[in-house]
Amino acid sequence: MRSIPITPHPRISLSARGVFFSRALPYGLSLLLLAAALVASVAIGAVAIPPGQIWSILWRTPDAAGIPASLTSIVWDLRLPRTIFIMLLGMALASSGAAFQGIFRNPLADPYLLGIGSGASLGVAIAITIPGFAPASPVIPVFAFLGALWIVLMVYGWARPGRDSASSTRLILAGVAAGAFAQSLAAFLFYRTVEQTQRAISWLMGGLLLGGWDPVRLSLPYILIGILVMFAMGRVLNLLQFGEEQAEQTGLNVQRARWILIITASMTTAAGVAFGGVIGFIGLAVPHLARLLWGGDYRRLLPLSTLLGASILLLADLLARTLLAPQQLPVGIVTALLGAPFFFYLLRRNGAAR
Amino acid sequence: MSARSDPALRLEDLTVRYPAAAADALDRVSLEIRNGELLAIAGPNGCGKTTLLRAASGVLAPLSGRASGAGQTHPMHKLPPEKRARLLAVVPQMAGLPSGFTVAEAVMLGRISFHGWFGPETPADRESVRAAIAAVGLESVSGQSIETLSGGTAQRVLIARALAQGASILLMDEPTAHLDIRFQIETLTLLRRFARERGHAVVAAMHDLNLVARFADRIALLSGGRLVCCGSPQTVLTAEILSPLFHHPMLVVPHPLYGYPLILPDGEELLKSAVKLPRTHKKR
Repeated sequence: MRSIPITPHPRISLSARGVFFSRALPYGLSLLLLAAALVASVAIGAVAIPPGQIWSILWRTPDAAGIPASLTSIVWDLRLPRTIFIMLLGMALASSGAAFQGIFRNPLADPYLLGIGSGASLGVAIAITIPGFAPASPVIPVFAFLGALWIVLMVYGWARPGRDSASSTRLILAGVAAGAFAQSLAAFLFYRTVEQTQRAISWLMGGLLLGGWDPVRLSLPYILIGILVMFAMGRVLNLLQFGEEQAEQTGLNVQRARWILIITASMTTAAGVAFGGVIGFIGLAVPHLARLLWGGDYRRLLPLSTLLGASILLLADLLARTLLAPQQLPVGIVTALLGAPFFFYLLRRNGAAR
Repeated sequence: MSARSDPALRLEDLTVRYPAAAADALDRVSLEIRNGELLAIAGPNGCGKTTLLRAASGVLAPLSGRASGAGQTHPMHKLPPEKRARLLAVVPQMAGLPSGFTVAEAVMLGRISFHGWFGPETPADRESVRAAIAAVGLESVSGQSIETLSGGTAQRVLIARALAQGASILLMDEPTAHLDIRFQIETLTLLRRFARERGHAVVAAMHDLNLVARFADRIALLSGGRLVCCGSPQTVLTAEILSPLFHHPMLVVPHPLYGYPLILPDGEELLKSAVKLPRTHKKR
């Protein structure tokens, strides 16, 4: 009676070294991929710049004197700010996508399908309509956040997630509807007011609104703080995976945790969308990929998704810049072309599981 | 610590009504659960077993009445979740477990009220998790992913998580629902041991009356949200009480070896077929 025998499953015993490598390997691989994507993003373009020269330009080494000033300017004023912003945007979308999937326990929850990206773009459109606001104003991310929050409250209030099994589907339906509404309203405002309609519409489809360092400068604090808060909530997200009621009975203030996460993830998304436009499928597909590769523990899933999201968006941006060169495609078009098939795959997989 | 005679959990006129429901799901139920006992909640489907556990655990606010822990001035549902979790742990009905966690990681989640959202896992947390895993006999699989476990083993992970919460009251919703006979008996043996050896107050909602008869110290029978009666197996599990409750003829005989009541459905058929069986269990 004292101990009840359990048939142990065969298990590969890992040495301390093995455990270290199995834990650290995903981070190592993701960092390596990110480094490669960063270098490629700065190096490749209308003018190819070899990595050696990029190094010299960045660190102003003595042999940088031999490099023409035009190249230095391309790196510092064009490629580097764009690359860093795209990296931040990929991080923001992937991390908040992972967080939303965890908050709602719904594999389809992502900032784009929940309408949050479109809500943020509506906020930006409204801000730009107000005379006297430049696109590089620091209030742009704030308006984007308010727009995102408005959509979240609407979608959440209508779908009331977590009460029953149908609420998950309701949540996505409400998100798609609210997102389409917000995006159309934003497009309407742009057509009315902005002279550069072409550029604004391209932004709505996921093109950059501004060049230079302004997007990085204005979105960096929000994205960085948002990501760090979400990373710290890994344990909370893990507990939420067992369901609302179990999480509460285990000692989690579920309502508080949910709202903190929703507000943080919305803020992170909005700061990216404010200058990068609405880019779909990164927030959906990247966390799934990370989960398939490395498991569902949010303490690992969030940082790994963040790294992977940055690399994948950088590579998508590279395609967007080079496919129809010298024309630039909005990067959202590339992510949709790559992401939509993945989305169908997920739908099929989900259907098969039921 | 409260006085020994104090009940660990006291339900007073607990009444619950779900929104848009015509009748009360729980109607003025009063019960006292003491440390060291295994109390079974039984009754027909829809009688309010799960509602009683949810209301007692505080996730459901009652319409009137209250559920409160020993020495607590506030009712359960008014306490913050982190405080509640240290008083009372709930083992939910077995459903699918999320993937991606090892047994030890899943059990560690039961310690969140100790180390909080961000705090590091302390040696005390790790010791508590180790002890909880040992108590349910899962040491050999503690590094294994929970989604690879069989139903009975997964159930024990949830029991271990509840133990790691350090609460003295354990509420179990159908702890044997998806288990085969061997695991049913093992799980209930374990629960009774927690009550006897560690002084836990264990409340288990159960369907199988014969398992109830064998393992419970007391039984609370519910019907239509009301408490029908509460007492020892011998006093509660009688044909006179059970047959009308379940709208089905029952025959109750003493177990030939151990003497606890054996409940046989279709009692009338058995009696008609002239099998010599003692009529009803003697009341004490």
